[in-house]
Parts: sequence; structure tokens; C-alpha cells
Amino acid sequence: MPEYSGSLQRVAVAEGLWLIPLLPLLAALLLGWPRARDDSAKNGRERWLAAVAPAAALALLGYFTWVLSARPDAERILVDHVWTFVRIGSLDAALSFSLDSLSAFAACGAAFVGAVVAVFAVTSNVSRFALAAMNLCVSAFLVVVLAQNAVILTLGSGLGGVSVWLLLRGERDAKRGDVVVQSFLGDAVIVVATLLTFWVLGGTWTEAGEYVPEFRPRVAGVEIVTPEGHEPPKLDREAGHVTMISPQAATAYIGGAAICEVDAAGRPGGLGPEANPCKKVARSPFVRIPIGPSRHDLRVVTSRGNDATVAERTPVVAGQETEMAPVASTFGFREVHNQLLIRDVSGARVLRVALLNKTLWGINVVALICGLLVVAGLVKSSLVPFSGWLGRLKDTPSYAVALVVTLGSAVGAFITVRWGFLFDLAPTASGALALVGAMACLLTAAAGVFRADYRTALACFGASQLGVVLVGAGVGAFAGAAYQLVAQAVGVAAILLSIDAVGRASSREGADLDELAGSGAEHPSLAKLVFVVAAGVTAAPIPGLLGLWARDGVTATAFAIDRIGFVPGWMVWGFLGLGGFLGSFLVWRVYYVIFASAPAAKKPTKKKKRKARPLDQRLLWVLRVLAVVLVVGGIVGVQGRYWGSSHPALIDTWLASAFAGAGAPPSLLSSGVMLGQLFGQFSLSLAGWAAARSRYGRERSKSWRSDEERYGQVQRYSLELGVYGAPAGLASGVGTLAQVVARIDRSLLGRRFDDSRIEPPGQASIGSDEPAHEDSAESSSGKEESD
Amino acid sequence: MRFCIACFVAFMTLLPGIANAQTSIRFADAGAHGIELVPAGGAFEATVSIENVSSKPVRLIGLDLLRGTESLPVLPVGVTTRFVDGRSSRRLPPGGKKDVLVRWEPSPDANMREWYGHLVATTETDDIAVVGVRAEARESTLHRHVLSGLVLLPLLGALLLFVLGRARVAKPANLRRVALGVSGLQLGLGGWLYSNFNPAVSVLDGSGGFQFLERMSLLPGLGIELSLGVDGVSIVLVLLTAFLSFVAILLGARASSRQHVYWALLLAASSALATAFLAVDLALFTIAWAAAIGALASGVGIFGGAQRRRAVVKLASISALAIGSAAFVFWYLSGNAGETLLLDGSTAQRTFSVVELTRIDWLARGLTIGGVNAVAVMYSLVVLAAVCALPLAPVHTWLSDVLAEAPPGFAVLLAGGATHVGGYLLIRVGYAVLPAGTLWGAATVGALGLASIVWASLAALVENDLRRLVGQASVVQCGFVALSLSSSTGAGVQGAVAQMLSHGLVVAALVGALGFIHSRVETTRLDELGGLAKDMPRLAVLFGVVVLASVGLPGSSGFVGQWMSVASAMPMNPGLAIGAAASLVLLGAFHWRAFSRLFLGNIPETWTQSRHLEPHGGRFPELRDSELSALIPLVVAIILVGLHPFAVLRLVASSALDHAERVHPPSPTQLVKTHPMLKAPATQPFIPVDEVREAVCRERRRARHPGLG
Repeated sequence: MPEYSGSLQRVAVAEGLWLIPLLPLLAALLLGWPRARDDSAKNGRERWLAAVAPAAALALLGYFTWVLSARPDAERILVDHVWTFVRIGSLDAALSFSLDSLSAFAACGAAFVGAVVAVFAVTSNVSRFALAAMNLCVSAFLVVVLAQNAVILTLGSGLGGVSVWLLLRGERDAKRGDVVVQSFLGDAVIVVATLLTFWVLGGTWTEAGEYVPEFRPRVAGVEIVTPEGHEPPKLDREAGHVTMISPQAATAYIGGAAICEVDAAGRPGGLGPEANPCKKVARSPFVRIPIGPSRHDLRVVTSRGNDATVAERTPVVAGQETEMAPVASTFGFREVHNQLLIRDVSGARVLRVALLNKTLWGINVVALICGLLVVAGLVKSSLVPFSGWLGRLKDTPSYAVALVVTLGSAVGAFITVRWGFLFDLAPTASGALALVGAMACLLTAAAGVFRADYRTALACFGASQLGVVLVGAGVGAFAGAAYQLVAQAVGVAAILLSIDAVGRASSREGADLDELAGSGAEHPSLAKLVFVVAAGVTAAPIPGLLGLWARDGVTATAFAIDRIGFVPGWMVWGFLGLGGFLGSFLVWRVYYVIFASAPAAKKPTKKKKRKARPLDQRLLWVLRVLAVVLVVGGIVGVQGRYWGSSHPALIDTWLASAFAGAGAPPSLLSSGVMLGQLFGQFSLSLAGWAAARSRYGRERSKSWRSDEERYGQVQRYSLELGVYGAPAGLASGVGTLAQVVARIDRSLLGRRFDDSRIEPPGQASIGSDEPAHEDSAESSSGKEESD
Repeated sequence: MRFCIACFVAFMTLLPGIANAQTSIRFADAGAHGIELVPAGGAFEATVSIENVSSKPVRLIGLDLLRGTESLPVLPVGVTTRFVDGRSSRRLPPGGKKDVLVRWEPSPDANMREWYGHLVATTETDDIAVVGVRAEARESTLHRHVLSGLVLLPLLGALLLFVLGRARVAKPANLRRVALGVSGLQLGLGGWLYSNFNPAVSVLDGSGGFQFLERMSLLPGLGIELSLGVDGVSIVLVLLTAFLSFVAILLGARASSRQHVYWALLLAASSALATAFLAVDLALFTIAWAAAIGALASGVGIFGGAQRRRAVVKLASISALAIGSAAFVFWYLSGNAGETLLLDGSTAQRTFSVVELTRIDWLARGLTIGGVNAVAVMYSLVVLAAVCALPLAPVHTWLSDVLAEAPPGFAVLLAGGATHVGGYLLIRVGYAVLPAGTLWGAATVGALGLASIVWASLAALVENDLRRLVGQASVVQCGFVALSLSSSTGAGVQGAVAQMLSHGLVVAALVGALGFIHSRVETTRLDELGGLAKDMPRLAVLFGVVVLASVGLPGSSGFVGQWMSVASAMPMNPGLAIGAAASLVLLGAFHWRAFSRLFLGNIPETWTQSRHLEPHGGRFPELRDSELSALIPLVVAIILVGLHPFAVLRLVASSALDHAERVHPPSPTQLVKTHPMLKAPATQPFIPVDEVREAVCRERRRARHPGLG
């Protein structure tokens, strides 16, 4: 019987994963550097880099996903170690990427959306700098989803924040600074959550408040058990097999001999100098190196030769795989997840128990970490109350809004899914996440309902769909959450780009719904395409497309669970339903105003007469591709339970390996009840469509325009007072405090107070206004006098 | 007065250490600095004679090299001594001699390649003879003198420039080229040191973990030696100093008839800073620190802005407080360290050697000052010196004042180099010499760090002068250094070094960029500037990268430093760490405000007709190639360190762990091979771990802090 065992995921090493985020990053760097001369011909060629890079990343992803899919379910994870990032004692992080079923799915979705949006943007002749920002955004999101550990995920999250700011043309509008500051807030929360997770795994805060640091990482030999129902890998029955993934770039020894990756004779495995000289010494990550079955003293050397980590008398069993797994502080997602699965000889999951018993300031640390992740999810996903800046997207180009909402804001939601297995340990935090996600879905959708421009409205819709992802992570429907993440990316990008194409074809570049009203009559084929896209996104009035099944993965689980921590499942389901109703109403409102209403009656201006022009066929093809994905993408989410089949949805099967041992238990409700809840959700979406159709369709009331303005004002005031008031008040308080501090600062060492060097209180808020240029002449003269 | 000082220095220099007087034995044939082992096959050996100089026969009862303790060895393994004749007789007749062979056989994987030691012979009448022994396994001259090269090269360059300038034999442009050449050579030496430094060396390899040791007598009467050495902590700071010196010269200087003084002072400051970081002797460290501040203050005083006098007074007074506090601590420690052997084997009543002072358990000595435990007093003074030098709240405002007036080159070296002496002091003296004090004062240092971060961030939110704002940003960065060091862990030391490195690069780039703006329009006030991105897009991009690094954006050097600071502080002081992480929002806010005001929006129309921009058609001229050449290396370094920090941090790891182990000696529960998880019965796998750890903590606290409470 092994001392430690567990159904850990078996890993393969795949070099080249790092190229996937690097390609768009390089394109961003090449396109972003300011040019002294404008060479239009060369610019035209180089601009296609913006589309080629994400497409190439998608192709690479396709290859690696194919490699991944060829492996058995329980072995679907590829790891690529690039270099060590930080290493001292047990604080060990590497620049490493991994591709499991979750990251493959999310990365493919992101690269696809990035490439499609880039093609759209290139054909629309946007600036090089904007193309660079787009590629940076794609690269950042790919780093986030491919990150092997939490440190690299933070790196991607930070880059994502900057790319969002650049996409919003932050360099032109000083008011967009709140996006940057909000991004820093999100990153700070992620950093704290990550570090708490790291230290709580290995370090100990004693009751006296003292911590005993560890000078080296800890590892233990864990025999990998093949889960029931899975076929074990074909291993040499005569030999034991040693695997080490983390700590990375470490060397393993048995006694005094290094483990060989390739021995002197060119054969794989074996031991070092005495028995079998190494041609190539194994440095982690390495997998399944055959050694003699016995009890071995395995020594792992990371930094200093005299700081070896030793796992004494580790049993290496013939025909089995033993992984040298970290059993203490680690940043790796897989490694943390594995620690929760490791069992001792009695069958107890000892590390999981130990983790659950840790407290900080009397609070369960896992609950604290999950609470922080909830906040990070809200902040980075721009959900209420952190969605204030979405209201200023009117002047931002649609392609930029599409990327900001589908990739930039999706970072927060993805983080909650990635850490989903931790939420599994903290029911209270899970309940909070589900409730907060559902309410955020509802409120963020409500914030976009009566918006006067389609970009803000659809951005709010996109953000509200990320709330569904948060709910998925909270209720344990991780596969549904991941599905929803990709579905909303494709759907929101499709609808935003479609309407933008309508505007271009009608020579209406603005985002005002009023201005775009009636454009559909000029482009009937495009109107049909947008109808399909809207139906795909909202699941109404055509059921069975991507939108319905993506949401169903989450809503069905919420419905089937009695309680999620302290939150009743039906409550979450209800909020999601209302959110679905509002979301559907929002999207269809945009559709009907643009395609079914008459043009606004305005006096003709003296400006150039508007002239409808044929739609660029390349743009049309981009939109067709998105529409097709929205239609056929639903297939992978169709649940067999609705007609009594035991086969789960394709997406559930694919993503199951990423969440082994975590997630909600299978539903005990009958298929009839589940079908009822599905019908309920669909009915609510349908009701949203019906409401929008009756209000904005061909038979709308005559006073609808004035009603819109009135509702819009009520909505704006209620949001500013009720939702965004707290952050604004906080910012104002910080500004006043800063004034006080600056004055004390001046007087600390006896310096005469100089008012001209401190801003008056009204200007202390962040990014609030332009520089006070009016005073410049006066200030200059004042300076000259003082000099 | 000057004559008196000169006489005193000459006297102290000539005053020998206390020789081995009135002993019956002595080592004959030893040079002034003892004996040096020479290559012999694969080993190194030397022969020295021990002579009976008394009229009676003596019997030797001991003959060996001082080897130190197990945790702090003096020598590497493989050093042996024996009588050359091979006889076991240890009797020496009057006037008789006996040859002793000292042999060192370094193993192929030996880390330490050079060492200094002492061969001691003892008679049965307790007479002692000592001779210094030195071994150097590296043969090239560069190996032997790289550290003195790093120190002397800029110093000689400074003298050369001063002479050339006074004699008016070189044009100003040529003077700059000479300075650049000298600094480039220093940087090249730094690169050589980087590639030849062995990151695996630890204190267990002997010589306190210092490499490339160079020692010579300076003031033997006071126990002061010119002792240079480099370990993982100091190498990063020395490389940073060399790099910043090069950049400071690239930044250029305003046209002046005294350019030779400008360059000479810059190089002199660089030399003094390098000496401070390389000094193994604390007296040498103090002298070098004072010289560096003197050179920098002179530069600010001569070439600074309109308010330079006020700035210099502040710099000088705060630095005097810092250096005075540190000097008092060193003097007290050296006086209570007891007799020490000098390089040549003579003894001194004092020692300023870090290696020697590290061997003493100061807490166990029970020293008090005014009834208060001396360790607590000494550590408090070290913290005071560090707070002044770094600087931290509440004595931080001098940095903003100085940066607002200092010319760019001096501002770079001052903010990016000299301030780090404070952090270095906390590591070199706090961790190594006063570990109990470090543990005792950790929370205070952390609180000061957090206070500095929050306070300076808030003050910067309403700061109108960009150069002063850079000063506030520097204080924030230094706050992270203090926070990191409050953790008392290896990660904390490494994080502090990473943060100092990042701070140096970032502040140099910010100061340089603002210098370029100031050189165009003679102001850096936010209410007068704006919209520069339109005319200077390249500066905007580079400045943006640097600002993001200062905020700690992942992928930049700032992230590594700040993240490691918070990471290391988290387990020891979670409240402080979470507070620091939350402050990142303030940090982002004030940086964003400065960047957006400076670069976004529209350029004020008043500038288009101003006398500054008229020659350029009313536009801000974009960065010239020479200016780009100064900024781009800094930005590249910021990104490289951000993406691959381990390339630098691997140098620090071993040394950082050594320092941390001084504060937290490894306990049985920290050794994996005895970790309960791998040994304890499966029925009680984890709960006892905490209990064992707590018991260990309790015992350790009782054992290490009887006097500190």
C-alpha cells in the first residue's frame, strides 16, 4: 500500500506552448512602436500582422488541442516550462504554461474571437496603435488562460488591464483613468488571494502569531491512481516510473545518483554515474522515467546544492507512476488541486483536511481566499458596482468594445472558474459567489436596458453574462461556466460587429440608437444575419442555439441544488431568469430600434449627404462565420438528460478532467422537472423578446422616443446614487485625505507651505479633468519671480 | 587643523596592530601580510617555519588554522596543516625551527575559490603565535583585483577628468566621452563580475559567503582594514550602481564651464557608492557612504536649481544623522567585539569586519546601555539610519526637495543608488550582525514601510511638481523595501534587493525623462504641461512603460519587487501585507494622474508661442537619438528584469537564505527529511505539525529573546 496516493492528472510535457501568447504580443510590439514616417503601403501590409498573429496562435492552439484530445480523459494536461521566474526557499514560481481541457477551450475561444475581431478591424482601416492594443489584449487573455500558476495568471491580468485602457483610447481621454485604477484594484485583490493561498498551503501561523518559514519546497512521492472507469496507461510492468512537474527546473537524485532522462546508451531513464551514466540528466518537468521498483530516498535539488528536499524511503512500485508532488506552498493550479486529492494510507485526504483547518484572524482562510476571489471576479469583470466605466463606451469603436467585454473583462470570470476547486471547499463563499454573480447579472443588465447607444447597452449585456459565469463557479457548474464564458465572447462580439457593420454600410459611424434607427430597411440581408445572432445570444425566440445551452449549464445546476452555502438554489435560479429576461429585452431592443423603427425625423444638416454604400464582403464573411458558430456552437452543450439519456453534453465530457474531484454532484431531479426549468428560463428570455418586440417593433406606441428619454434618466440617476455612489464617495474622501497629508508633509521639515505646488481639492480626484491650462501663464510668472 | 587631522591619520595608519609580543615562538619567513598558498599540482600549499625564540625548549600543543564554527566556518573544506618532516615530536629546542606545511585541496565542485585565514600555534605555556594565510585558486589578475578595479576605475577617472578640465586640454564633449568611457569600463567589469560570480556560495563555504575577497591593512591601530568582498546582496547593488553611473553620464549635463567638475563628482560618487556596497569592513563602509553623500551633495550644490542651497542643507543634515547613527553603532560593536586577528596575524582591540561581528552572539553577551538591552538600542539606531537614508516616513520629504533641485545625473545616483544604502544597512548589519534585533524590530520596520507607502501615495495624489512627485514615488518604493525586510525571511531579503533594483531603474528613467522635458521648457509642473504625447509619442510610450513599472505592473521589474515584498511579508505580518497590496490602488491612481496630465489631452496653447518652443515651430521636439540612447537601456532593463527576474535574483538567493537563517535558524520542523508528514504515523498526520511548530517557536523565542521580551 503506498503511503500517499491520489488520482492526480497525468501530465505530458509539450514544448512550444509559450509561442501561443507570444505571437500576438510580438505583433503588438511591432505595431505599437511610434513611427517617424508614415509609409502607407508598408503600413497596409504590416497591419495584417494584427490578424495573422491571433490566427497563427489559434492554429497552434488547434494543434496542441488535437494533441490533448488524443490523450485519455484523465491525462489531458500539457505543461511547458519556459524559465524560472522567482525561486528562493519555498517561494518558487516559474514562467510556465499549461494546457488542460479548460484552458484549451477558453484559449481557442479567445484566439478565435481575437482573430475575427482583428480581421474586422484591419478591413475597417483602424490605426496601427489600436491594432497593437487588440493584440496585446488577446495575448494577455491567452496568458491568463494558459498560465500554469497564479503568478503568471497575475501577469496576464495586469497586461489585460493595460490593454483594456489602450483599447478604450485611454491615451486620448484622460477620464478613462478609472479603468486603470480599477484594474489595479482587481490585480491587488488577486495578488492577496494568491499569496494567501500560497502561504496557507505550507506555512503555519501559530496561535502566537508567529510563522515558521520554510527554507525549501517540500515534496512527497505520491502514487498516481487511475480513476475508476478510466483505462490505466500502458507502463513497463517491470519498472517503477517517476514523474516530477514542480518545482520546475529541479534535479532529482536517488541516493547520490541523478535520474537520467537519457542514459549513456541513449535509452530513456535509469540512474546516474555509478549504475548507468547519464547522457542527459532529468530536470523537471519530466514524466515517467523508469527506475527500479523499491523504496528510494528521493532527493530534489532546486537552488543550492546543500538545500536538498528529501522524501525518504518513497515506495516506487513496479508498473505504477509515482509523482514527486509538492505537498506545501505552491502557486501551480494543478499542484494545489492535486494536494486536495492526495490520500494517506488510511484513505483520508490529509492535506485537504489540514487546509480546511487553517484560520487567519479567526476566519477560515479558504473562505477568506474565496471571498477575495469573489471581489476580484466582480472588479475584473466590470460587474455592478464596478461597471461605471461601461457607461462611457459610446465613443469607443465597436471592435474595441467587443474585445474589452469578451476578453478584457472575462479575466475576472475566468479566475473564479480556474480557482473553482477552492470554492468547492468553502460553501459559504460559494453561496456568496453565486448570489453576487446572479445579482450582478441582473443589475448589470438593468444598467444597460435604456441606454441611448448600442455599444454601452451591449457592453452591459456582455458583462451581465459574465455574472452567469460567476454563478457557474459558485454552484459548481464549472463546465457550464466555461461554456458560458466562450459563448458570451462569441455572441457579444458577433452582435457588436454586426451592428457596427450596419452603421458603416449606412454611413452612420455613431453609436446612437436614434441615429441608427431604420438602418435595417437598407440592408435586409444584414438584418437577417443580426436576427440570427441576437437569437443565438439570447436564446429567444429560437431555442437551441448557443445562448440557451450555455446558460443552461449553469441555471440547471443552480436549480437542482437545494442550497449553495447559505443561499437557496431557487433564488439564484430566479435572479438568473430575471437577468435573462432583461438581457433578452436589452438585445432585442437594440435590434428592433435599428431594424424595425423608422429613421429619426431630424432636419437635414448642411453636412455631406449621407449615402448608403454596399457592405464590405470581407466584413460580411466575418459576421457569417460568427453567426454559424453561434448556431452550431449550441450542439456541444445539448444535455442528454432532457430526453432521459445518460450521456452528458460534449462540453461536460471535454471539461470534466479539468475539475476532477470538484463540482456539483449530479442532479437527482427527474428529467421532466429539469425540462421544466429549462422551459422556464427559455420562457423568460422569450418574454424579454416579446416585450421588446411589442415596444420597439413595427406596432410600437407613438410616444416611445420620449418614454425612452424619461426611463433613461431615471435609470441613470438611480445607478449613480444607488450603485456607483459608493466608489465615487470613496474617491472623493481619498482626495480630501490626500490634501491633508500633503499639507502635513510640507510642514514636517519646516518648509514654508507653498500652495501653488498642491492642487485645490476640486481637482484632486483621479483623472477628473484636463490640466488647468488657464493658470499656466500666471504660474510661470510666479515661478520666475520666485527664482 | 588640517595638519592635525593629517598627522592623526598618518599615526593611525602607521600604528601597528598589537604584535605577538613576549611569546616564546614566532612564525619565521612570513611576509608582511602572512603567507600565500601557491599552486602545487591540483592543490595549493605553502611552507612556513615556526621558531622558538626563547632560551628554553618549548612544546607545541596546538597547530591549526582557525576554522570557525560549523554554521559560520572561516575556511572551506580540504585545508590541512602538518609538519614537513613528518615526525610526531612537537618539541622545539631554543632557536630551533620546524617547518609547517599548509595545504588546500579544493574539491572539483568547491564553491569558494579564495580565502583568508590564520595559522595558530600554541605552546604548553599558553604562548601563541599567529600568521595570516591566504589562498587564491583563481589565477588571472582580473579575478584577484576585479573589486578594486570597480572601485578605483571611476575614482581614477574622476581625478583624470578633474586634471584635464583644470588644464583646459580637452573640450567639454571630449570630457563627457572620457567619463562615458570610464563608466563603460566599470560597467564592463561589472558584467565580468556577473558572469564569474558563483551564486551557489553560502556562508557554509567559508569567508562569510563573500567572494573575490581583497584585503589590506588600512588603520591597524583601530582594527580597520581595506577589505572588499562581494556576496549575493551586494553584487546586485554594485551592478546597479555601475549601470546607473553609465546612464547618468548618458543623460548629459548642461553647458557649463565646470563640466569637468560635474563628471568628476559623478564618477567619484559612483566609486564611493561601489566601495560602500563592497566593503566588508564597516568603518570603510561608513567612510565610503559619507564620501558618496559628500560628492552627490557637492554636485547638487554646484549644479542644482534655484533652491539648491536648501536642498543641500536637508540632504547633508539628514545624511549626517543617518551616518552618525550608523557610525555610533559600528563603534560600539567594534569596541565590544573583543580582540580580533588582523590580516597579518597581529591582534587588534577593535574590529569592524562584518564577518567577525557576525560570529558574535550579541544577545548572549547581555550588554546594556542605560539599563536598556544594547541589541535593542543598536538595532533602533540602525533603523534610524536606514529610515533617514532610504528614506521612510516621517523623514522622507528631503528626497522630494533634493530631486526637485538636483541635476539629472546626480538625481539618478542619489535616488537610484545612495538611498539603497539604507536597505543594505538593514540587511548587512541588521540581519547579519543583529539578528535578534531584526526579529524584535520587524513589526516596526514593516509598519514604517506601510506608513511610507500610504503617506507618500496620498501626498503624491495632489503633488503638482513632477520631480517632487518622483521623490514621493521613490518613498513608496522604499516603503516596499522596508516591508520586505520586515519579514525576516530569505524571500524578504531577496524581495528587498529586487525592489531596490527595480527602484533604481525606474527612478533613473523617470528622472531622466523629466530632465528631457525640463531641458525643453524649464518646468515640470503639471498645471503648466499637458498633451505631450502628441508631439513626443516616443517619450510617451517609454514614460508609460516606466510609470507602469513604478506601479508594479506584471511583466515589469516593479512587479517583481513589490510582489515579492508583499509575498514575503504576508506570512509574518498579514495585516501589513494586505495593507500594502491595497495601497497599490493609490499607487496606480497618482501615477495615472501624473501620466494623464502630462501626456494626454491637448498641449496648452501658451506653449506654441513661448520662447522655449518658438525655434521648434511651436512644437515640443521629440526625443533625440542621444536622449533615446539613455532611456532605452533603462526601459529594456525594466522589461527584462520583469520577465526574467531570476537572471538577477539567482545571484541573491543563497546569500538571502544565509541572512534569513541568521534570524530564523533552521529548526527540525523545517527540514523535510524529518518533516512529520513524511515520518509521523498516518493516524495523526497534520494536527501535531502545528503543535510541534508552536512549541519550537515558543522555545526559540524564550532562547533568543530573554532580554528583549
